[in-house]
Order: sequence, then structure tokens, then C-alpha cells
Amino acid sequence: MTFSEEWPLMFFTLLTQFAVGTYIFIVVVRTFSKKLGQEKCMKLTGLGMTVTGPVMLAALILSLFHLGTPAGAYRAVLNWGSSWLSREILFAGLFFVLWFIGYVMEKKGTWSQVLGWLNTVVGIAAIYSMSSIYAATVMPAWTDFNTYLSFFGTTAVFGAAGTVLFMLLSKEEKNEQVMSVLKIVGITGIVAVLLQLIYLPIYASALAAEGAVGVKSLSVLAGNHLYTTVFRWILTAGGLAIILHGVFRKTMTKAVAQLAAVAFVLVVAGEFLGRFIFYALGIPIDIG
Amino acid sequence: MAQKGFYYNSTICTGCKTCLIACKDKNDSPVGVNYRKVYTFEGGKFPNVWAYSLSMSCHHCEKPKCAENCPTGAIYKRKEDGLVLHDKEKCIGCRMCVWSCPYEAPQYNEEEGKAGKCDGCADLVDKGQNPACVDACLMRAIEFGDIEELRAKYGDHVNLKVLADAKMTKPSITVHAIPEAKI
Repeated sequence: MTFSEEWPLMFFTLLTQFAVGTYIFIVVVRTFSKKLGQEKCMKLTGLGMTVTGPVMLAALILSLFHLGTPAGAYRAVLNWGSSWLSREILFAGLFFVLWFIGYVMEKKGTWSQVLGWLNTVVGIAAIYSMSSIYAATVMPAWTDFNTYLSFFGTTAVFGAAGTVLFMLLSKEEKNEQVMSVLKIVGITGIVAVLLQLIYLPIYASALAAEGAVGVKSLSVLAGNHLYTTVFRWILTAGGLAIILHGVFRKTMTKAVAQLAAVAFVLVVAGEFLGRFIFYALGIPIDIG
Repeated sequence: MAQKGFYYNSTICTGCKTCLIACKDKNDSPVGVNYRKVYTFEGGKFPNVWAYSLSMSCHHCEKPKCAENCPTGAIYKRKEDGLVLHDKEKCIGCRMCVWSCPYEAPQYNEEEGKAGKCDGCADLVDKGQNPACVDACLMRAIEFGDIEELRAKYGDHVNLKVLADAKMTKPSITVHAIPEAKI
């Protein structure tokens, strides 16, 4: 799989994971950050919530470019009884619809926590279905647990980085309580990175045991793309580390927001490279 | 349901690719899109060398991953004979089937923006005739019929070194091959 072939899917998966991740973090913050006060919490997270919907919509529109016959896209949901691809589109579409309903309610001042959690489940189902599509192929590099870990990992990393950035960008005063929320969000992102790094050697040894095609995939990961992989993790982990550094040194909030914006760009670059490698590893079991 | 399938005798196949040409002619498939392909494998060390050909199309699997994963339901298993068919009208060209088949059976047609695959020449089969590849073979190396009958007649051999584990999709095929080809 190359960039020219699969760019619509790279953008679709990354943007969906960004939208779902940010949405989930915001719902969690809105539910558990009682100390911030209801009104302040809504204002702090308003920008992030506003952004997730259009990002999800953009992801869905970009996914059409993957199809040879985009006009038939609506038929992609017909086989939901057995096809993970159908389920992915159903859940991703439903995620957008529920976001929109929530957004309208929020504008009217009646944000519903129940709706937020319902859509959180839908979002998780969308990411789970998305992972299962790849897990159901004949690519040994994709049928591993690694696919679930990296897709949910990206969701958590993007969600953490995005939530911190958008909360810092809001005009609300960033008091002690706000910074402590941002710390927890940032640390969650780091944990998501650590889990993936811990699994990396397990993934590599699993590929080595997957026959000729698995070994070929491993040689792409540890050969052609070794430095890409190292660089990818430096970008993502470095970006998150900068964000954490910013929120733990609670002086000069304006500078922290600017720092977080730069760090966010690093995280995006890291995740994009990571997805690029993911597709490069998609070598099928075939005849021979 | 009597599952239809192929018997293929690799030991007499000369690798002439007439089956492939007959298939392309029947399906009018463009350059690069082949519902049947012929592979050649060789190995060993002089003087003990070996080589064999392998002519493969869709195996009309018992558990076709392509049909399971197809999001539109364009690929489906025909009830009466288990042939795995593809409804071009429904296909949206997502290539999920291409990602799902370890036998390279579904082929993406760039010009049409849709996939396509071997349908066992279902139209000919319905008229009581053989698929085009079967009748075109000079060596009579390919047979088509009830897979259980073919297995009873020729044995059940599908685990070749160059093929995916048969447990993955349960292909409806049995292959007679030289010992070096077998697992």
C-alpha cells in the first residue's frame, strides 16, 4: 500500500480518530470535573466540541475518494450483518448525527450528559469496527492485536493533545483546577504511547512467527521504515512531553497555549507517519 | 446445497496459459485484470530439480472472506451450488474483497472503478456446460463439478506450500501436485 493509493483512508482513519478521541475526552472532562463548575467547564470545552463534528464530516467526505464508484457510497452500509466496513460507516455516520444533535442542544444551553456518553459508545464502536476491518483482511501485519492498539492509541493521543490545546485556547481563566484537569488529560496521552511502545517488540516477534509474508512485513518495519518508526515515536512522544511540560509549569498561560499548538503539530506529524507505516506494512498473503 | 468446485491436476499442466486466455475472452477482462492466473514454481538443486505450474481462479470457498467483508453485499454465495458471485451493479469499488482473499481472486478494474471475479462461468454452468477454462485446457487438467464428488474421485489435497492455510476460507478445490509442492 502506498500513499498515492491509500491517502483517502489515511486521512479518514486519522481524522475519525481525532474527532472521536477529542469528543470522548471532552465528555469525560464535562462529567468528572465538578470542581471547575458547570458553566466554566462548558466554556472551556466548547471550542473542542465544536471542532469534532466538522472534522468527522471531513473524514467521511474524504473516505469517498477511496471508492472506485463514489456515487454508490450509500450502499456501503447494506451488509452490516457481516461486514465491519458497513458497521464502521454506520457508527461513524451515527457519531456525526449525534454530535450534531448535541451541538444544537449545547447552543441552546441544554447539553445532555446522557447523549454525550451515548455518542462516546458510538464513537468507540466506530473505532472498534474500523480496527476490525483491517483485522479481517489477509495482511498478517494488520490481523494482529496491534491494529486495535494503534487505532485506539491514536484516538487517545489525538484526544489528549486536542483537548489540552482547545481548552488552553479558550478565553476562560486557567486556574489551578483547570491545570490539574489538563495534567490528567496529558498523562493519559503519554500512557497511550507507552502501551504501544511496550507492545512493539511483541508485535515484531508475532510478525516473525507469521510465515513468509509476516517476515516480509517485519523487514519493512525494521528495515526500510526503521528510522521512520523511530522518528514517528519521537514526534508523538515529544509533542505530548512538550504539552505536559507546559501544563506542569503553570506560569504564563498564553505561552503555554502557543507551546501546546506547536506540540500539537508534532503529534499530528507523528501520528500521520505512524499511519503511513501502518499502510506500508499491508502486504497480503497471496499465492507464492 | 451441493458445493461446486474445481479439481486441478498440476502434474500434467504445462503452464501454457490457455485457461487464462479463455477466461479473459469469456469475461472480456482488460490487461492486468485476470480472474484466472497461472503461476510457475521451481526449486531444488542439480540434479534433483523440480518445477510445477499452478492455475488458480476463485475457489468458491465454503467460508468466503470476500463475501463476508464486502460492505454492499455485492459478493454473495449462490444457494443452489455455492458459487461465489459478484453483482457489478451493487459494487462500489472499495477493494475490501481484494484485501480479503488469499488467492488473489477478486480483481480491481481501474477503468470501471469496480471489482470483478471468477463466477465459475455461472451462465454456462446453468446451461449444463463447463466453465470456459475447463473446456479450453489442452491437457484436461481442470475439472469442474460437485466438490465432494471430485474429492471422492481424486482425494482432498489443498495444502500446498504456496497457498494460504485452507482453514482460513475452506476453498472448494482439490489439487493434484508433485510431492515438492505439498506441505
